[in-house]
Amino acid sequence: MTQSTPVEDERAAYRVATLPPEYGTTRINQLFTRGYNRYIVDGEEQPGDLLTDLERFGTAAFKEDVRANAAEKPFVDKPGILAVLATLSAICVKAHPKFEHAPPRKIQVLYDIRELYVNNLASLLREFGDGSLQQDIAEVLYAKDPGEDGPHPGRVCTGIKEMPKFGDRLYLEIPMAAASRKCLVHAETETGEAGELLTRVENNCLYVPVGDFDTKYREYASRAFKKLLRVQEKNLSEDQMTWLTTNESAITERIDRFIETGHHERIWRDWNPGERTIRVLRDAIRDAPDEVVSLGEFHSAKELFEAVEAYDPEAGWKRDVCNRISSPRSLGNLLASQRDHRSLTIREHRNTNHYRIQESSRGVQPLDVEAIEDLFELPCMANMAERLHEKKPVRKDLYNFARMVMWLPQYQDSDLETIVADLKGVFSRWPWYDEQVTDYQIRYEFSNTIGGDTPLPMNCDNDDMQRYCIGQEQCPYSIWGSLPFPDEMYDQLSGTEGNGNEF
Amino acid sequence: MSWRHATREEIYRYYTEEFPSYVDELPSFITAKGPKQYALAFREPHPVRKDGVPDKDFIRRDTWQTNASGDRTSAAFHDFDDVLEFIRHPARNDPLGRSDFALVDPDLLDKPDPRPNAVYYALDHWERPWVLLIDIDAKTIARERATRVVSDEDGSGDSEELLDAAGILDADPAGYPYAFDDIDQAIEYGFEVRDIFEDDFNAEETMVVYSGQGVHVYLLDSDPAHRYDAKSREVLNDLLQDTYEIPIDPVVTADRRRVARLPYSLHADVCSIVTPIESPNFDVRSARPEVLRE
Repeated sequence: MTQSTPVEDERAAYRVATLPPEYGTTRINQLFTRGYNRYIVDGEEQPGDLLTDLERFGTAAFKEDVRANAAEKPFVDKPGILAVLATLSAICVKAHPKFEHAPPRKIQVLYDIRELYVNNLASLLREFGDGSLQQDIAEVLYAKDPGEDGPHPGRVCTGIKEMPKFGDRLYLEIPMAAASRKCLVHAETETGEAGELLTRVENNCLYVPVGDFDTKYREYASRAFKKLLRVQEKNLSEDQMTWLTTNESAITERIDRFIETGHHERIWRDWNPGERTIRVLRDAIRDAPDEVVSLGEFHSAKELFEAVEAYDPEAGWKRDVCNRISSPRSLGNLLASQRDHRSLTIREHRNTNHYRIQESSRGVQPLDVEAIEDLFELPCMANMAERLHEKKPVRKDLYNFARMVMWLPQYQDSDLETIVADLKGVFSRWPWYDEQVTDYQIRYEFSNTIGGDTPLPMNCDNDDMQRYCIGQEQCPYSIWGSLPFPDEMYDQLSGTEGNGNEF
Repeated sequence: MSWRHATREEIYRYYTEEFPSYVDELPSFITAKGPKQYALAFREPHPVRKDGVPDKDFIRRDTWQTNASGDRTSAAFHDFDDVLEFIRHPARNDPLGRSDFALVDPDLLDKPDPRPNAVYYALDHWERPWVLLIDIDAKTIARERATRVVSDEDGSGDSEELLDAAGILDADPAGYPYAFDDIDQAIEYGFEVRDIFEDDFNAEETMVVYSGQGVHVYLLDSDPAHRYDAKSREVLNDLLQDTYEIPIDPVVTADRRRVARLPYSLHADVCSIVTPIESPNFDVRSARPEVLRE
């Protein structure tokens, strides 16, 4: 009997797409061929269409709602195409220069692509609507390693059945002789301990709720994606790889934008745990009911812990952070380990520590700055500019302004003359402008370092900036968060004490 | 009524006079060649022939010799009478023969001929899958009861003190870490497990055995559907404990190298016959050997 291949048989394609670790390279490549065949029309390859689709897939994967929705309704409706688009998108990500030396397990965007693939596959499986495929998968998911008596001779899963006796849901039927502890499913409890046993016994079989199948399959599919990716990577010739990375731009641009706008947590897995903790706490405080806690005020670990407990974020990484905080004490320890964080202040109060988390200086609307004038999009800078039409500047205003410009990426490597010239170009619009005075002031500022480090640009909490601030609650921007300052600036920040009010 | 230990002479009398009448009633898989091993426990350690090897109070003997590749060669016991002779005079009839590790011949010692305090057979068999046995021990039940009664808050109290405080040590059989009530409770659980085997696991062949201080429940069907390996047995343990709330000894179920008390052998610490039973109304006092009744 010849086995039908995934190229011509849809069922075979589903089997290989859902269980790639059970198959060899040949079958997996046949699945890819099936996917690629959709981009051949009348014998002509349609690389443009393939490119459009994979860019669409890759960029969509970065959106949390798209990933979540795909679990309900497939984003791509064919297993072969899904396998091709997901693996090619991942290859484009890995080819990004930023990830040249990064291990894939550190790259968050790869996880996003994988999640879209897994969710998409799960909903495709449901739509395929043939229980026998689920049964095949259950054979793999619930199989136990052969023991001293050899492998269990019969099928591991003998059916997917409704068991009215056990309530209205579907159960996987697993003969007791094929059973292992994998089949014992407990309800989840609030305390995280194993709850009531949901697996039932009847007729010398275990009946495992189908929900457990979904959970186990997701874990499996995460590993399965690795295998697909590996085969696809080996499959591509150097020319194909070059074509792909030369022509693809949307995914790369999206990653660049994350980098430019400081959304490091979207790029890197487990990026800066301290920063993540503070961000989640900030969200939890904002979200807390009745304003029991608020940003910028001191609170006990217990109060903050209660806010974390009540907080129910959607993003997976935020949930992970919350889950790691198990008690006021663990929160206290966590904060103590981040005592250098710029937004955190710890104060001892009657032998207990109190903690102040300050308003975000990051993670707000990003601002593209091509020319210095673009800075005036910030409401505070616009206010300052307006005032400077009427009145001479306070000296500090100029210093602050110059520092901000010094840290812009485009001036990082330029010579002093260029910067001075450009700044004078901006200042000359104001009536008080005196070339010599301004020239001197700017050069003086540039020669002024703090222990050899370039002084930090002002942030929103800067007292001198407060005069122009429209109120942080109202402002969609923040200076440190919106401007494309380089990582080194933030590195320098994490080395400084205090809460950012020091200049 | 209370309990006592059987004497050396009583043990010998039991295996010589009364036990042979039960041999025909032994389960069919108990033969000279059936289980992979028989084992004996002694009250006092008995020396072995090789110098420098510690005295033994527990010995296992294979029913077959095996060669280097583990294949069976010749049987140690030709028929069940050989097993019986081994039980009556272990040192004189040691299947290890002249081996260095055989028990020392009692004639060479001042010490008397050892007598088995308990007789066991291996659950692992040559000719059939590994027997499924569930062990329910009256000691466990008593200890749980004592914890409930005394409400030992930190749960770390000394076992003896706890049993004493709950009055268990004084209750009949006096001095034992359980009361007759706890044994009766174990027997009830045993029949409950038998019903579970029959109703939920489609078992046809089951057996409940009063073990002297609790019960053993057997599932003896040997068709493929009942060939439970270690992993299935772990699941069974979890189910019995969590879903059916039966206090069992899970280690016995899942370990194929375990030995079980031979049905109709004597539990010499309580002077009781290990007896297959048909009803939860079984009176444990009736398990006293006839030859020892005053």
